[in-house]
Amino acid sequence: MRLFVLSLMLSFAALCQAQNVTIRAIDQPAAVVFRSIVEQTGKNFVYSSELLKDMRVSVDVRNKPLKHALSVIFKDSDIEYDIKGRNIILRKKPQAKKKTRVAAQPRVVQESYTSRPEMLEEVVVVSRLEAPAVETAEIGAKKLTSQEIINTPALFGESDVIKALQMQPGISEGQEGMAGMNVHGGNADENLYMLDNVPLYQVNHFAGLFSAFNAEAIRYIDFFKSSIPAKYDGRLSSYLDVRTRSGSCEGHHGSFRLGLTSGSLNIDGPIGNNTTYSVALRRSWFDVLSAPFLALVNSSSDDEKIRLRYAFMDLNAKVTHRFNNRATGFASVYFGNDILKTGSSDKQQGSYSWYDDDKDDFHWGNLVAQTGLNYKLNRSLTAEFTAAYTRYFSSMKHDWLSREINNDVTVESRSLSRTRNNINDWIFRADFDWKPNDENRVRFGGNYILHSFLPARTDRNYTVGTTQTLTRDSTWTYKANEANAYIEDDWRLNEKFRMNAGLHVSLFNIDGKTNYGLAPRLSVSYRPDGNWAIKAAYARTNQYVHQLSQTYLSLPTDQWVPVTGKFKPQNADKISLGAYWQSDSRTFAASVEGYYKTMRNLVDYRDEYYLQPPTEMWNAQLCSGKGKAKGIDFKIEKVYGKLTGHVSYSLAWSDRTFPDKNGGRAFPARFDHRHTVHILMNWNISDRVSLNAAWTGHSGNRFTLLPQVWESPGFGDSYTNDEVPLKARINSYQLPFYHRLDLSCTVRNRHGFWTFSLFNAYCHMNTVAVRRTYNDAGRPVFQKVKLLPIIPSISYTWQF
Amino acid sequence: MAILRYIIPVLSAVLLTGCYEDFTPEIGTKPVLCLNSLITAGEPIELKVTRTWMFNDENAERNHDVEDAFITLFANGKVVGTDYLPKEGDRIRIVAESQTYGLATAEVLVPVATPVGKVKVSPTVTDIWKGDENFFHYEMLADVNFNLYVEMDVNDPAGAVNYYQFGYNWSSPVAFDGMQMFYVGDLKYDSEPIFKEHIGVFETVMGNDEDTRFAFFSDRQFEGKTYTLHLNFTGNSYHVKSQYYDESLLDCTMTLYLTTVSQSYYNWAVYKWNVDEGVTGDLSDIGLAESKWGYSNVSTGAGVVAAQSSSKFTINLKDFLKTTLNNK
Repeated sequence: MRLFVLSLMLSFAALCQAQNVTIRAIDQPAAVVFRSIVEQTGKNFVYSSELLKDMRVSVDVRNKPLKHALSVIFKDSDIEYDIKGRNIILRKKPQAKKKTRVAAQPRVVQESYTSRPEMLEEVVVVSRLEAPAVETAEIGAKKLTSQEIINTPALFGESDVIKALQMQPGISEGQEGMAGMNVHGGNADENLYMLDNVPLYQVNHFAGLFSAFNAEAIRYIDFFKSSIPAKYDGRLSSYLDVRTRSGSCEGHHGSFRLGLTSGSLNIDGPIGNNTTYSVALRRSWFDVLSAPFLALVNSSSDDEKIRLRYAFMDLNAKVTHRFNNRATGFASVYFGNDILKTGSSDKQQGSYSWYDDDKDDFHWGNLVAQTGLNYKLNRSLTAEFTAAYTRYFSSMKHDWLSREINNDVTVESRSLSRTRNNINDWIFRADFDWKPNDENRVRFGGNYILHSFLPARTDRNYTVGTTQTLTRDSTWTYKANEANAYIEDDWRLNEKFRMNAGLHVSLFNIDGKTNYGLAPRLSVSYRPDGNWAIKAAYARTNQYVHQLSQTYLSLPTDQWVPVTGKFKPQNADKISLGAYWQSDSRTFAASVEGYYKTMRNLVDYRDEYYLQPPTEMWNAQLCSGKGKAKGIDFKIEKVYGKLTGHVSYSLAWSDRTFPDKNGGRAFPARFDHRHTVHILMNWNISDRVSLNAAWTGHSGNRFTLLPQVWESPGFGDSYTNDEVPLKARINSYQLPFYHRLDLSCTVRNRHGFWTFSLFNAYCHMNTVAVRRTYNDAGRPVFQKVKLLPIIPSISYTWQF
Repeated sequence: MAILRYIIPVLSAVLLTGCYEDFTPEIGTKPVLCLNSLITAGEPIELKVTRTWMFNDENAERNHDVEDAFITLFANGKVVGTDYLPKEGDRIRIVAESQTYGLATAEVLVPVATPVGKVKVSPTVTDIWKGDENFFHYEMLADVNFNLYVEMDVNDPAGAVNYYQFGYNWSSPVAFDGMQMFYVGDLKYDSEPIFKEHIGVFETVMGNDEDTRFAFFSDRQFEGKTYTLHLNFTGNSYHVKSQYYDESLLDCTMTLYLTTVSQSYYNWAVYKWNVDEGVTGDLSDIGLAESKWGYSNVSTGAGVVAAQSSSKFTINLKDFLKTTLNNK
């Protein structure tokens, strides 16, 4: 039996992009070893698809320079390498006489490389970290690099992790144009978003139009939606771990991007021999662009003034230090926030004069600060210790002043209110990675989280004349203790069978009550030959917090609340089956994955929840129910070459049953898309130009259409006597089929590259809702509400 | 004005909205009966029976009367006639049947009025002008502007969930020109936090908790106890328009009403506030929030059968006005 020994030291890699690498592999496919190097160094491999065919590698280097490792790998081969910036270019040694075809992504083709086109026949870029699906035991896992994210066209040209993932089968985007995810029939709050393994609660800017993750700061992401590693728990549907870049040891690099909606600056480099830094800053321009317009509007009136300012920013900063061959430490900070300031003032002067001033200040975001130490305990066991603090905050202030002066009599009223919504988590975790032998890789660890939830507390201060009214709602801070432990073994039984089995145990203590969850995980892979694999998986997941949102937008008023009172922790069981194929050259891959998921103790607003006053807290407005989702995802992918991409089709069902909703009858989930097709294409036309296209088509969202109306009773003070909509079954109406094409084109020059993009390129106005209204002729009509026409955008990135 | 409440709908509906397209949804509907009634203790019951219609059916919009409905009225389980006067505590059940539109039923408990408790009135004069009786000055003898701060106790009976509506009106001498001499200005609803108990965080943040004239509330926060309403009436005015001074000119009163309403009435009021003033109503119109259907306690989901009983307290302002004028 060929030995499988591959010490990837993934956790080391995640922490330091230093050019020293550690690789231990015996008789492994070259591509597998390259993925380890890509992950540790952040560099891409560029080589002919034929060059490495069937090549196997044995190497054992520990904390050696990259060049040394590459020399060992290619010592007895006829391949030579050349490190150019972020790329490691492989080619046959000079005696080879072949013609070249270049298929590189924009930033990887170097002048010196293209000046020798006769050296290679077909060049592909391998920046994929992802192991081919046939080689792993996992179902529904996805690894995306920063470049793959950037290559996915997005609204306003803002590359976005979540919008890139929306192109994967089994994921619904939710509201059009928004960075939301509904995975395999789950709700939007059932996805755990992590930044370097630390949870984030608010993952959106601008009501969800952009995600909080700056694509320039990302190294890669790990995404799991079916078979979930035992390390993760806490959400029902999916887990997204965003890994940020560490600084380069080779020198100082950076880039500056200027787009229509935001700009970003990224720099990284060494500090001495053993320390690196990396900083990425992104900020929106909306306030700068709107300032002249507002000034113009305000100058047109002496009395009335409008105040409006919106901005978002995020900052990623990371310092990595290598203490010795065994220990590497890091400290990082993420800060993202949105600011919205609105208001108006108006006045009238004369014998009766008045002044009115209204100000609203919104401020919300996330702060994550963490430090960690990676320590190699012995040859087979490494440990990662992390301490982190994560804070979600939103503060909403409202200040209204009214002053009336009539015949020298002044009546002044002032209303001040402030609503705060905070979550503070202190996290301490230890993760271990143990390879007792060549067939097993055991991961185990645990963590403790001290939660502090302040769902939403409002203080009001109302003054009229000398009379003051102070009120504070009864919301209080919830303290909760959470502890988790896990163990899993990735066990290669033989050449054909591979199994990953694990268990996650969690405890969640709140209000003197302790909830616990056992989450067994199992995935099995059978590989009848090198190009085929059949897999099966089971995963249970638990969730102790949920998000309350009265709208489909991501707003600072959305509240994360813990499981309290009569509500039980949510949990889900999911069974998945999959079949996978890859071509001999590994250029093509195909898969089919089926799943069946049951969800329990789901929480949602009950019908007519708004009739329960907020003083009753959320317990009175919410109800508990269950859900079911099933489906099958097909995907065909071209992995290497000038033209890469995938075509996927999903057939899915998702429904919910709540005793206090829809009369207790089951109803379809809002994003119950029966049919979904994604086509994603990246075409490297030349050294300078590449074209990216993404087409999405899916069954329309479900909508609660209220077609009938009745006569208003006409009582109740001053309210209007218009017609009243009659109750109908929830989500019983399906909106028309949704489809959209997004395009982007990247054109490189000597100093950087331009990105041109078109959102909704053929301007198909998709229906997002149906409303009742009166048309211009005064006739009552139903109208399709259509959002987002074609939106062009442009950006330039300067690299240095 | 809180412009924030307009930001999201404006951004969504104007900046991002490309267009609206008229259409007729292919969805099967069946009209049902609708019952509307507000039952007041001691007064005959009025009931309006109509039917539902497809929103874009213009003919039905103009005429949705039901010709063939047969109504049966029950009071405390017994059939009663149309001349029945409901009493506090009666359980009224209405059954309507139509061969065309089917059956509709609704039931409501006529609430027992809660007497107005202790009332404390604190007037503050903000401006006063008094003319010389010997000098006829623009037909005015006096002009008094004042605020009234009223503390009114609600002694909530224990053992039941009660819903209330606060109301007021006033009476005034009439001047020779036919105008009232006494006017109540503004009730500052913001002074009484319980008038905002139905407003959640989202609406508060959007600025929708201000300038609202909503005076329904429940006893959820003071069940079985006494709660004091803080009622701040500002800008009240008393203009004495007469050529001669007479104490009858001082006969100004203000009446405070504490109306105990049925749960259906309270729910209907909260629903209307949400769709008329709440921002989620706007968002649901453009698909960014869940649709809100009308609150109904009728079996078909159409109509509201509500009930109410009132108690009142009258504030006599004569002494206050007299003292004020005499001290000037």
